[in-house]
Order: sequence, then structure tokens, then C-alpha cells
Amino acid sequence: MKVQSAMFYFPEEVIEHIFSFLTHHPDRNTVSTVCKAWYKIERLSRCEVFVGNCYAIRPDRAAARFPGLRSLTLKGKPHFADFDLVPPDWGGLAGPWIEAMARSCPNLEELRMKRMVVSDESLELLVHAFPNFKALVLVSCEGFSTDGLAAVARSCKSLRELDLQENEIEDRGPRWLNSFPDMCTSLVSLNFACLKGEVNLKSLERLVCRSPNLKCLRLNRAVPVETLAKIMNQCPNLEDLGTGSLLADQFSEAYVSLISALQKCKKLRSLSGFWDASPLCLLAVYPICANLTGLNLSYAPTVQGQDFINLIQHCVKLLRLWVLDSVGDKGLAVVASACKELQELRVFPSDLFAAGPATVTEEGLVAISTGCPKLNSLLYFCHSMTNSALITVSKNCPNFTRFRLCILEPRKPDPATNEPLDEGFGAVVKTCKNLRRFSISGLLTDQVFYYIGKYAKALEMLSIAFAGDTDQGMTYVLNGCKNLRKLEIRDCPFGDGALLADVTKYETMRSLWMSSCDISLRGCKALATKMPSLNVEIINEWEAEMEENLNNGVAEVISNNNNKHINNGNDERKVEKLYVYRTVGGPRTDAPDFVWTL
Amino acid sequence: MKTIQFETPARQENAPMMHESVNHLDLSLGISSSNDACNYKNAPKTAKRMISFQTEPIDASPAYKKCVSVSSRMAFDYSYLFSHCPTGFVDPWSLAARQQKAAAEQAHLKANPNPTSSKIAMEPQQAPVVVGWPPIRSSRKSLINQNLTKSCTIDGKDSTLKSEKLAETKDAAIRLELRPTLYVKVNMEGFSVGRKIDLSAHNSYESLSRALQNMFCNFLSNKLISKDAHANANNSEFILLYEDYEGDKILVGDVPWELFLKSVKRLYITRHSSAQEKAGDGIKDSQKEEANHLNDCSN
Repeated sequence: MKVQSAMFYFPEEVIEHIFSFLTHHPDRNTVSTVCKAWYKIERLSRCEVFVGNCYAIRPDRAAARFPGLRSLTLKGKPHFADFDLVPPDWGGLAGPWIEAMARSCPNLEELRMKRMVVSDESLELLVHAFPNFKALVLVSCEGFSTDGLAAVARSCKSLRELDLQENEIEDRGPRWLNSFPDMCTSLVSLNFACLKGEVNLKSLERLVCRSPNLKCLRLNRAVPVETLAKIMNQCPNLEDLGTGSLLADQFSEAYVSLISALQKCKKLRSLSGFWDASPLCLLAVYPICANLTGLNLSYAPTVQGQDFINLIQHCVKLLRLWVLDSVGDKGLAVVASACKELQELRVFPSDLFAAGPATVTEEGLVAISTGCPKLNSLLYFCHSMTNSALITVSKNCPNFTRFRLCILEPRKPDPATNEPLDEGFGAVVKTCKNLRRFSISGLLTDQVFYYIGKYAKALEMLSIAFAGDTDQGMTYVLNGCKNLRKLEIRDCPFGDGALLADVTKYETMRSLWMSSCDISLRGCKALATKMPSLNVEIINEWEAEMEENLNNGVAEVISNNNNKHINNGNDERKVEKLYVYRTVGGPRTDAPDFVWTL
Repeated sequence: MKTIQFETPARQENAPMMHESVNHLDLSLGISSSNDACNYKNAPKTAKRMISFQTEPIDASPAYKKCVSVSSRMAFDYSYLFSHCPTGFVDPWSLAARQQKAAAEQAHLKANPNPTSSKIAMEPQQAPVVVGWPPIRSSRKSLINQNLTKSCTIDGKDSTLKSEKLAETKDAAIRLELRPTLYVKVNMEGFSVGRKIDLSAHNSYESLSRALQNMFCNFLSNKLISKDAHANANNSEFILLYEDYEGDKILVGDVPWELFLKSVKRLYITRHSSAQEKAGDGIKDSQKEEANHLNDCSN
């Protein structure tokens, strides 16, 4: 009691100072709910805001609540948009957010966006509205061109970070690199690896010359070895390098200067790129391997077999490794023996259909788990997997926080026993108490969901495809996983029963995605009626079907009026794609025709 | 969004005629399946729809009278032929899709088409294609396609017709993604009148040089290029250059084909000796080979 009343007499500045030690945004969200005074203090002093779903709140409301905002993180489209399951023009527009921030939050310094649509105009507005703007990170975004990048380069006086990862950028020429200011820039991090077009190499070299603070530089494929060597000579303090094309002639001057340049870079810790890497260029990399903590070879199909082995055996301090499956089980065995500190491994497929002689199998995974007990994050694409392998892996590595296994052929059973993989994945959830992200594949019955619901108490994100037998599977997960935030399901036989089993659950989650399942319009309508705090959106292609029926002589009215479509015809129609998310912003105002909010 | 229309002359279900028109016309057009926007619109047809396509007689069915995209046609008839397309259209687990596959295979065997299509049909790598599966980003998928294409062309002319066709369709698909047509001027040194060539109609430097040879062989008549087909590296006279965004003249052949397409503005054919003088350095083997191609006036 005494303590409580004492808190009331603390001046606001003291409480604000106390809050400044809370950086984790869930903690800040919690303190803001204690009382009105704390809500006010918290919101005025908040510097970083994370919005996991850009439609969960209206932009102007967020901007008005946090006028002192300095850093904003936004996520737009659902995760399955990465795999072309969400139609273009679905939404996720950055424009309204940038405009709202421009009106209310002049102190904005950092903007990080993932899966959003950003226009060149928005980028112009961004750099003109915020005088202190320092960092722009765009991941899997689209809608802008190199002209937008030029605007950012030109107008942003104190730009420190321009990080473009996996974006779809329209290439309007290489001139954007010239747009950086002529005097020294404050650039610390520049990543344009996803740009597909040419770059002006002279401009790039000059830019690097006048950027003394550069620590992270990731080039695109158009940058040849000669330029890379010149750049490396200019910045020996580089810590993170993404190479351009590593195609070089052994006796060329470029190759020789690359070797000497790389040797000078004592601080280099992370390497990526390796486009078209010839084995010779790999030799140049050997001297720095011993200090590497991160290595990304996933865009280098030329690095395989003995070349890979020769390279990786030097990388004893490696923490993060991304490779293609063409390194084979043999390559993974060498990784297991050399990289004892490994924490994150991603193995991407190099051939989608044939399991060639050198691709990875469950043996590679078991070898890794035996050799690298610190492994906590895994993304593994393979052609087959066995229960016993998974059980062994989970015994060897109980520290998994992210475990994603993708067996390329849907519904494939354990080839040794012909059984489903329930026991294998079950073992993973039983032993890995800290599992936060889980993706499963192969032949799976409701049993695996029983295990997930029972044991995966820390699970936050679950991705399911081609799995399960009955509604019970999904129900196990909804009932059991208390911390579930994102659930995405495709091609599973879950129907209305599963969808409506626990409707209040969705209010505790960020979002639910279901596509090609067994749910009907009736079920979705029921959900929308019961839970007004959720946006229940369906993405439909029924319009085209209706046109067909018309031509066949069946009388239907074709119109773009959503209500007519929703209420016309029968509710038993199967819903192809459903996206449900909690929101305080009401139904979307920018939803395109094919998205119906029920 | 691209929609390519065509109508089959013969209205017969699963007819060989349809197969042929598909083989000739559509294989060369390539599939617009890599174009995500277009693809999405047509791609995820439900199983129900596939049945309706199949069971109704073609003359009466309005579906055939509509503009149907090439890609959905492909999906209907040949989703298993073009299994290397990253985005497919048919849920292979649906009953209709499996019926379709059986019907398509039967039609193949029945009609006894040319060996090409049967090779494609019997391809051991045949696997059902599902939208958005496996769950990898399109940038990685296109890397896989490029890589497969390279390994196909590396095998050389001995590679089966199958892999060439696959490479062509993949490259065609990638091309369509870049631009529909890309006409650039080609000027030969010493001639005031130039030609224009559509770069998007080619998928590799070899194909481009062949086309240029044909174009300029006739152009020059008999005077400058000897009809003697035994031109070797030392006799190579001409060099192919291109002009990029910044106006620089650069030797063709250094960057990957796709990158070349993005930056090329014009082409120049100059004589080997004059280019050498300007360049100063020796010319690498790859460059000699390029000039060699140009000189080799094949039909």
C-alpha cells in the first residue's frame, strides 16, 4: 500500500525515466494499460513502435498516440504473399502511414517495412517530411523504382542506413547512385543486392570513397570483381560484405587485387552474394574465413562439392550459414565437424523436382544436429525425412526456437516405415521447450496437432500445409497453444467446425490465414457475426465463375457490388482464401474488389 | 497483366489437333506463367472449374469462346508437361486434376504425336505443380530456373530435345517478365543504313549472334563476308558492341543475358581491327568466340 501511494507522488519525469529502461515493446504496452497517467506518460515518451499488421490500427490513430515517435516498424501482407498466394493489389499500402506520420510525428528517424507497397511519391514525402530521417529498411516490398531511391539518396541529409532486402524494384537506370550528396556521406549500411539492373560502377566507387563510416555494404550481381577489389581497398573496416558477381579470370589483375584487398579486411564478419562464384574467387576468401560469423551462399549454385568443403572447413566461428542443398549430406557433414558454434542453418532447394545425387537428406540434418548442439534456428528443404531422424535431431538440439522443415513433395510419409511423420515432429515439440516458430510438412495426421497443442506452449507462429485429417487437428492447436500469434494453413481438410471451435482465440492472435481448406461462406459469416473486433476477409474468385454461369444460361446478376455477391447465391460455397485478424481500425477502406470483408 | 488469346481450329476434346497447335504455337510463345500478375488471375482455378472445362462440349461451352489465357490452357492440358514452371495452376490432389492427367496421358498415347511431346510427357521428373509450393520466394525460384537452364545449355547440342524445349520455355517465361518486345537499332560500321532487331525474341547470346549473322549476311551481299564457312578465330573480322544507358560502348557477352537485356540500348558491329586499336589490350577468348560467331555465316 505504501509503495502504491508513493508512486503517485513521483513526478512524471521520474516515471518517464523509469520507463526509459523498458525497451521491449510488449512491456511498454503493458505499462500503458495500468492507469491513465501511465498511459499518457508512456505514449508521450515512446520512441519505437512495432505494428505487426498495418491494418490492425488506423495510421492516424497510431501517429496521434505517439507524437514523439522515432522508429516505426510496419508489416503488411500476410506471410504467404511471399509464395504468390495473395493476389497483387491486395493492399498493404505504405502511403497512408507515411502521410499520417508526416502530419503528427516529425521526429521520425527510422522506418522499417515488410511486405508493403511503397510508391516513389511516398519515398519523396518520407525524405522531405522528416529532417532527421536516418534509416530506411525495406524487406519484400514493392511498388517503387530506382527513382524513389534517388529521391532518398538526394534529399536525406543524414542517411545512415539504406537496406533493401528481397524487394521488387522497378529498374529505371543506374543513375540513383549519383544522387548521394557530393560531400562525405554518413552512410553506415547500404544494401542493394536485390536490384536486378546495372549500376554505375564509377559512382559506386566514388560513393564508397566518401563514406568513411561504411560498415555494411551489399552489392548486386552487376558489380564485377574489379570494382569489388577497388571498393575493398577503400574500406578495410567493413564488417558485412555482400559481393557482386565473383566471376574472375585467375590471372587477371582483378583477382589479384581482390585477394590483397580481402586480406586487409580484418573486421569482416559476414559474407554474402557470391553470384556466379568461380572456385578461384573462393580461394581469395579463405584467409578471412576463420573470423566469419555469417555466411550466405544461398545464391551461389556454383559453390558445391569439394569447393564448398574446402571453404567451410576454415569457418570455425560460424554462427549463421545459408546454403543450397547442392552441398549435399557430405557438405553438411563437414559443416558439422567444423562449425561447432553454429546457431542458424538454412538449406534451400536447388532443384525442385529431382532428388539429385548431391542433394540433402535426413542424414545431413542428423549430422548437423550431432555436430552443432547450439543450433537454435533451422530452415531445411529436403526430398524426404524419417521419424527416427527427427527424434535424434530433437535429442541432440533441444534449444530450437525456430524449426522449419519443408519436404518438397506434399504428404510424403517416412520412406523407411511408410508412416506419417507425427512422431518425429512430436518429438521436436516435446523436447524444444522454447520453440517459437514451427513449420511442418510431409504426411501428417491429427496426431501431430495433438502433440503441438499439448507441448508447444511457447509457440507463436505455426505454418501448416497438406496436413491433418479432421477438424480436430486445428482445434487441438487453437485450444493448446496459449501464446499462438500467427496461424497459417493451406490445403488442409479443416472446415467450419474447426474455424468456429474457439472464436475468442482469434482475438488473442495477430492473424489467421486459411487457404484451400474446407471452410464455407456460412462459417466465415458466422465468425464475422460473433466477433466484431475481427476483420474476416475472404479473397475470392467467384466473380469469374458467375460470368461463366451467365453464359451458360443461368440467370445471375453480375455487378461489382460486394453485398450482392455475398448475399446472393448459397452460403455453402467453399471459401478459397480466408484472412482473419484482430483490429481496432474497423474494416479496411482500401480493400480491392476481390477482398470481401464480412 | 497479359492475356494471350488464341482459338483452336478444331473443336475436339483432347484432340491431337489441340496438342499440335499447342506444341508449335505455344511452346515458342512460352508460357506467361512467370508473370505473377497475369498468372494469379488465371492460376488458382478450383477443381470444380476444371471439371466444367472438361465435360462440356467445346462448341457449346462459352468458356472456350472467352479470351482464355495461354497459361490456363496450359494448366488444363499440360500442367504436367511444364512441370518446371515455378507457379502451376492445378491442385494435383483434386480428383479432377488426376482425371485430367490420366486423360492427357491417354490422349498422348492414342494420338501418337511427334516424339518431342511424348518425351516431355514421359519426363521422369514429372511432378504435380501446386501454386505457392514449395514455399520459397520468387527470387530463389528464378535462380533455380536460371541454373537449370544453364545446365541444359551447357550440355550442348547433344542434349535431348526435351531439355532444350524446357530451357526455351523457361527463358521465354523469364523474358516475358522483362519486356514484351525490345527492338534496338543495329548499325554496321561503314553503312549509313542500319537494321532493327527484337532482343526479347532471343534467349541467349548464341541465338542473338545467329540472328545478326543472318541479318547482315544478306545485307552485305557477297562483298565483305566470304561465303567460305571455314572462318577461324584469326580471321574474325567483326566485333559486336552494345551501347548502354550511359552511352558507353561495351563488348557484348560479359554479363548474364538477362542483365544485358536490362541495360542494352543499341548494338554496333565494328571491324575487329579498328576495335582492337581503340581498345588497346588483347582480346580475351570469349570475345574472340563472339566475333567468330558473327563471322560464321551459317544458314
